[in-house]
Amino acid sequence: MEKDKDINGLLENLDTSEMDNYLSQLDRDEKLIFDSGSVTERIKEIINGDIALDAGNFFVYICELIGLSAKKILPFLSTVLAICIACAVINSIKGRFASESVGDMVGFIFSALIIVILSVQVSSLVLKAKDMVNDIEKQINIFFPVIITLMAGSGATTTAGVYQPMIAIFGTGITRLMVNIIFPLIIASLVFGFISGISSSIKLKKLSDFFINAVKWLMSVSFFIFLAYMGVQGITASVYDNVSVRMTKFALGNYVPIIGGYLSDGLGVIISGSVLIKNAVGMCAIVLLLISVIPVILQIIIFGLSLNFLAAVAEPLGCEQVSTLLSQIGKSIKTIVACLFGVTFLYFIFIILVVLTGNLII
Amino acid sequence: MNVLSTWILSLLGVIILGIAADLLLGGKLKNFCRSIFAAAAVLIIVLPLPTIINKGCSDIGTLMNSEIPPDNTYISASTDYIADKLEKGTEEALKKDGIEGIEVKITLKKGEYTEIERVEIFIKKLVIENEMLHINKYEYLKKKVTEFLQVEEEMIRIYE
Repeated sequence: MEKDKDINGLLENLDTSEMDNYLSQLDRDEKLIFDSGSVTERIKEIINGDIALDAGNFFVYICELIGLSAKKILPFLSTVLAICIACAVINSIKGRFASESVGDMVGFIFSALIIVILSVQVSSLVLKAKDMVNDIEKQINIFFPVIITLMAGSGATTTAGVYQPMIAIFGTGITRLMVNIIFPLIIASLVFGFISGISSSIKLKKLSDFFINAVKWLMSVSFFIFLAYMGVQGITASVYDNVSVRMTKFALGNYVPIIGGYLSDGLGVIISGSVLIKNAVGMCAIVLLLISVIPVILQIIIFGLSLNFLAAVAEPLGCEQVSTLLSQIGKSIKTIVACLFGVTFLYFIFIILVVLTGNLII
Repeated sequence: MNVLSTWILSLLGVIILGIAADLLLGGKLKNFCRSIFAAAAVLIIVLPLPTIINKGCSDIGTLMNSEIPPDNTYISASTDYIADKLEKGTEEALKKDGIEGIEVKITLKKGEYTEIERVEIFIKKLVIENEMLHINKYEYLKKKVTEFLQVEEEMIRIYE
């Protein structure tokens, strides 16, 4: 159809090179989930109605990720379990075959050993979490300029103008808040958790909890303010654009019928074409977000669960100190997962809001 | 991050010294040393707070004024598409009024689909119906295009 040709013509003029570069960096399994070799081709498929993702591939991908993460964690699990069992043995012979102070010294050494092993695992996970947030920032800087262009192209210029600073605040502000303030606070809570796990006489558990609470409050307040402001501004601006576009369409009646017909046809293609392409780009952005976020979050969740499992196993073995240490670190890991879920959810809602408010003009 | 690692390392140093003192000393000296190291640890924890409070947060204003420029290629292509439709429509409308063979070129304001900046009419191959041969073609064309496109006459340029 000619209209399809016109929409494809519009798409050819859109710069999708950065999106394609990003897609080319993904591995084979991730590209399989995306279901296309290029973003432009995927957008064309979505415009033509091929919206559904391959659920089978996605499910297999998730299961493989879970299996891989569990496999990676096994050496750590078995090492810590072995240390807990040794600790239990030492506790049982303390007082009979070894003095109390020797027992305390050995307990201190075991705790230090677990802390060293844990810190290696935790630091790699924190780095992965930071990389994930930086990746989200990269995606924002790739997708949102295109979405803003399409919004402006479809006539939603006021809405595009309102969202521009929002994108800067989210793309730079929120992600920098995560990387420069929230993650250091989480690292501080982890460090104090480790320190308080060295010996029962060191009491820094509440300080670790303070940092975790500070992170939770900081995230909740900043995300709420951002979402509320974005929602109100975006919806107000889109209503204004809706009225402007309707007035433009109404004004077409002032032209002679031939010109009015051509102009109406042209505006219809541009506005609806831009909206279709924008929705398709939004959908691609969501899929790529999920592809980049799910592996990291799954890995950290599995690690957090394994810490809870080890704490549960250490407690009946009599290793109170180890059990408390693992629970405390588990809390900090849970906070990392909450932060990652928070920023992912915020980005997801942001895309949906930008795409939907841009649709209000038609 | 450097500030944070320095802070954590200094705290760690005090705590390790405290543990060493705790393990090696005994009696009242042990309690005394424990209190000293606890006070030192609290001091190190609290020390960075005045710096953080005085630093504040002044970068939000910069972020609010930042812009993401739209892709001008796409906007220009969309504007050109509408201009093309307007040109075809104008030529068809003029054809219906007995004027054929002219080429209309419309320039729209950037990013605006109905705001015309300039209309150029090329009449090199102009063909007028016999009944209209006596008319002033320039005035007639300007009058018609003004009526069709709802623009001012000053915006219209006619070229041979």
